[in-house]
Amino acid sequence: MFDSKQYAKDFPILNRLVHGTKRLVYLDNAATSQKPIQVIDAISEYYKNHNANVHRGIHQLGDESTKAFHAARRSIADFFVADPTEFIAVRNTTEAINQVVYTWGEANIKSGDTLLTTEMEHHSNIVPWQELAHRKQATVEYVKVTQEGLLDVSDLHHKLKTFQPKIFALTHVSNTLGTLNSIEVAVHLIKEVSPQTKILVDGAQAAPHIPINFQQLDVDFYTVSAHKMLGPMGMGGLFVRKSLLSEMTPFLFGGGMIHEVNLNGTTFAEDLEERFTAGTPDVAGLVGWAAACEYLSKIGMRNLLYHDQQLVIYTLQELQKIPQIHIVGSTVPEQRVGSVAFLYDGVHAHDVSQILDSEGVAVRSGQHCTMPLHLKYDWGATTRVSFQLYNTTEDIDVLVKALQKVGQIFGK
Amino acid sequence: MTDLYQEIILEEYKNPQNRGIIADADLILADQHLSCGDTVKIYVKLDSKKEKIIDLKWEGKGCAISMASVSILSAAILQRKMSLAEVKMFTQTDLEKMLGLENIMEGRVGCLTLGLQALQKS
Repeated sequence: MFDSKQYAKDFPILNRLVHGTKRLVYLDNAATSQKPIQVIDAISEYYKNHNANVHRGIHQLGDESTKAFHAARRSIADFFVADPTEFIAVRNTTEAINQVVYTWGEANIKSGDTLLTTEMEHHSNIVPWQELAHRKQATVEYVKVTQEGLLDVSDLHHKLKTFQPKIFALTHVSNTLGTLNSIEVAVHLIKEVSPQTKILVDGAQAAPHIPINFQQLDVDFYTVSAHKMLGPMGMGGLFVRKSLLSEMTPFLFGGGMIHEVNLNGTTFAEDLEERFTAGTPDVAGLVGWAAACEYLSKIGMRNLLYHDQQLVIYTLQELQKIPQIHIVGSTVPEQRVGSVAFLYDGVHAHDVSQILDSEGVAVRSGQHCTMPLHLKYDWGATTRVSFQLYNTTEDIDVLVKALQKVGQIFGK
Repeated sequence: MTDLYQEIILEEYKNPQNRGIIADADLILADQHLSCGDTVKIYVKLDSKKEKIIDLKWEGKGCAISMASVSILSAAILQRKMSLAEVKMFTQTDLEKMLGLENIMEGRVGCLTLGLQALQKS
């Protein structure tokens, strides 16, 4: 049995009270997860005992730090079943997507090209492509989302075939709809009707809940954020298919990523791990992220996915009993991962979340950086509850009870 | 923070004052919060010198805080026969006092000041 309460003990923040006496029921995990003591300690231990700049510090601390840096990179790459040379450390998913735009995109996108993404993307997987298209006189097309909140696969097929896009950028799990997209289907369709199309997957909402196997997914780019998967903020990853990486030119220039610098010009590091990381890396961040990967691996991502699915099933079931609540996206649990967002009849999402907060329940309200989706369905704003391993069905019961207060206050 | 939803706010939200439009308004001022879908449009009628506000109506949609705030602000402007210049002097703290709020969360400040910001565009 998945023992959430046992795992919750590893998260010091969950012991605190909010608004005086309320137990914190943290259901805003899609925004950022809480951190276990193992991650906090790993970062603290690095700064307390090993801090020094990496590489050419020929002293004991420099050596320890360099070893910690490489070990952390290896652990993170292993977690995603990628080669360490395929892993570029960045600050977050947004930066990872921008990194692709500025390296691969700048070199490969030309006037008249089409870039394909979808209506369900987070702004971070729309805006960088719009900006690239603007600079290159290219066009961005969007795959439709169905009435049930799923990716319209026939529209994807049609747009791949018609536009032969240079890249297809798709989220693995939607942060608003909770929809789990089939990467296998997308890869298959690309191979079938538009084999030149590269595929980028935004894994920000998938990596915290699903086992990710970068090799097996067979995609060109996979992007993640550490802070949504129990790791520190300010750390993220871009995984790039090795054959593509060698064709990409760096876009951040400076120390660490060079081979030889002359006043007349510079050659760049052949080592791919160095080539795309200019300047001092965030070693403590990597060490913390590696600790998070280790923590998750011990529990097992398959167990985590099972636990998430139980919470999705229970939340859908309990929220659907409340007549004022309308679920956003699919009501089939297997089509969802990580979160459930909803509308409350006649009460604005901000008011809903403020009242939930007064009962210690932390959720998110607004458009969750998916304005095109909210405009499409005329939602205004939605309230989202999102899960992590420490959440229990009791947390959902507290949520449901707190939702009754919304009805009482607003008379709805 | 349930205190936020005390009588004044709920009363103003449920029974908003000065809702409507002015067909021959001198000024139409609008603002919106794209991140939460809140919108407000304020119609202003000025005196012959174009200084004092003699009539004001508004329409909009949004959360209880943003709608209650526009409502109470519209009433105060008309009651005190304020000029455009006086409206520009109005602050977030004045709104908090009128609505009986203390320690509003950072995330709700935008809701509170939606209408005021629209008016201060004049």
